[in-house]
Amino acid sequence: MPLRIARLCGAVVLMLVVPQTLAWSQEAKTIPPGARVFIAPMDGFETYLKAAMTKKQVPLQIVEERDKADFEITGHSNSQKASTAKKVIMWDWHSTEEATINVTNLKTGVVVFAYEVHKQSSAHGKQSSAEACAKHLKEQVERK
Amino acid sequence: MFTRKMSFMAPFLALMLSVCTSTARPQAEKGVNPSPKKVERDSKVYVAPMEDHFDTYLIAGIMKKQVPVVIVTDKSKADYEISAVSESDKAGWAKMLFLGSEASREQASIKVVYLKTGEIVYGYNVHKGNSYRGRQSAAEACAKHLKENIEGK
Repeated sequence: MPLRIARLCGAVVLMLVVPQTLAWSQEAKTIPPGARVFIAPMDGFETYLKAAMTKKQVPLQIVEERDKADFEITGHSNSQKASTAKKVIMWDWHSTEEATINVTNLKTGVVVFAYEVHKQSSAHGKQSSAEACAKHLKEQVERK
Repeated sequence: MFTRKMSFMAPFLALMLSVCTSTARPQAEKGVNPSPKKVERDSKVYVAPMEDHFDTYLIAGIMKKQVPVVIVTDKSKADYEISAVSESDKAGWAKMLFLGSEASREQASIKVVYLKTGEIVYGYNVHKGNSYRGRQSAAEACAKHLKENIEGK
């Protein structure tokens, strides 16, 4: 009889704990639509990213204060203008762009999304790389 | 009769087994806090900031390659720390003229340290003469091989 009670208690504890743990792990890995996001300074790339997020209609709320945010976007971008050799030999005037963003859950400190883009011949410079980041961020937010 | 004999012999068998294991692996018992020889699955990993921002590329590479670790931004919460160095050289005019390639040359190196013991459990370096996607390629190569290490391939 006591063995039965012990088993029953164990089962009840498992039933209570496991769904909560699963839910927490799911929450920890996703960005809910409408979440408040702070974009950290990235040598000017943050303004391109804000514009791209607006253009691509990413369902997130951008806030100017980090304390009010649920998530933080950090990253880096690098832009190289086409060299003379590239223009003369490759007949290409477009710049080379690379950018990367990381989205961190500020409550847990876990990185929930990261994306990197490299464009050898970017038609619209930093705008293209920022829009690529925004597009993939939107896909992540809308993923169920 | 047989079960009685077995119950009589069981302590001796257990003793023999324990002696065998202790002689086979004396090193494991000597360590006060034995560190794992590879990065453990679902462990918390902190990626140290780097001057050239290669850390952000590495995090993106880890996420893209679905490496089974949790990346945290607080070092005190982490089990492992990844530190890296990278170098990038863009294509010169000669490379463009003779090889017709404008791909950059990339090299990067990472090391993973188990923070409790300070032991390096994994290291990898990559060199790409013609990197198709610049630092992204180097970061993804590091992430791919880290994943292989974790999955024991």
